[in-house]
Amino acid sequence: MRRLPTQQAEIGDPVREFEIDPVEEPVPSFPEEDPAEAPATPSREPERVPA
Amino acid sequence: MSELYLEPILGWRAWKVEHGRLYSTVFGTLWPERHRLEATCGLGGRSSPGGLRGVHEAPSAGCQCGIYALKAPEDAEYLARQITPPDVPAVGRVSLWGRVIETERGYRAQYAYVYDVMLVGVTGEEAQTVRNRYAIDASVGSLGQPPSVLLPAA
Repeated sequence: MRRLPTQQAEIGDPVREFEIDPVEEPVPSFPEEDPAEAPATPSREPERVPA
Repeated sequence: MSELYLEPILGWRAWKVEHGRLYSTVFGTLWPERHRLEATCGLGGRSSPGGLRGVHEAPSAGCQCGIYALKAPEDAEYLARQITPPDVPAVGRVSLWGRVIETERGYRAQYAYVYDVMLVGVTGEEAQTVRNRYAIDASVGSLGQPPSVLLPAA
């Protein structure tokens, strides 16, 4: 596989570190028995970057 | 003690698309359907979400490990433009949570899941496959203009 530019060069140096512990994980879920019929649009939460 | 937040943040990424599945551009990691992607760190400090466990928890400030995402969509599009046929490029947003290291132009995170995606140069059928697999919004479009801030060339 052809490699793209190194990841570190893409995002730059670290600025700060924090933890996000969401009440509900942002992973869509739908019935296992018939995934083809599952709703395709996950619940939307407002975009937010910690200040 | 690091800061604690309750809502995931969104970052931008580029992927390669194959048979309706999303793969990371650098390490070729398959992004799982309906399950979070969890970062792990490989041996020797060279890491990827698909790397070997055992060095330390990812992401670590002193390493390069973690699930990468960018703050600017233009930067993700820059990466997508370097994906050449027969590979199918895609750009979109990812939810990031867990331990997160913010960097100048992006993030390294512990957990991620695709939020939405735009596939380039394919049919709507392929986008529909991605939409159904990941239960996300998936569309077909084209990449915009070159970014104003250029990243290092390949």
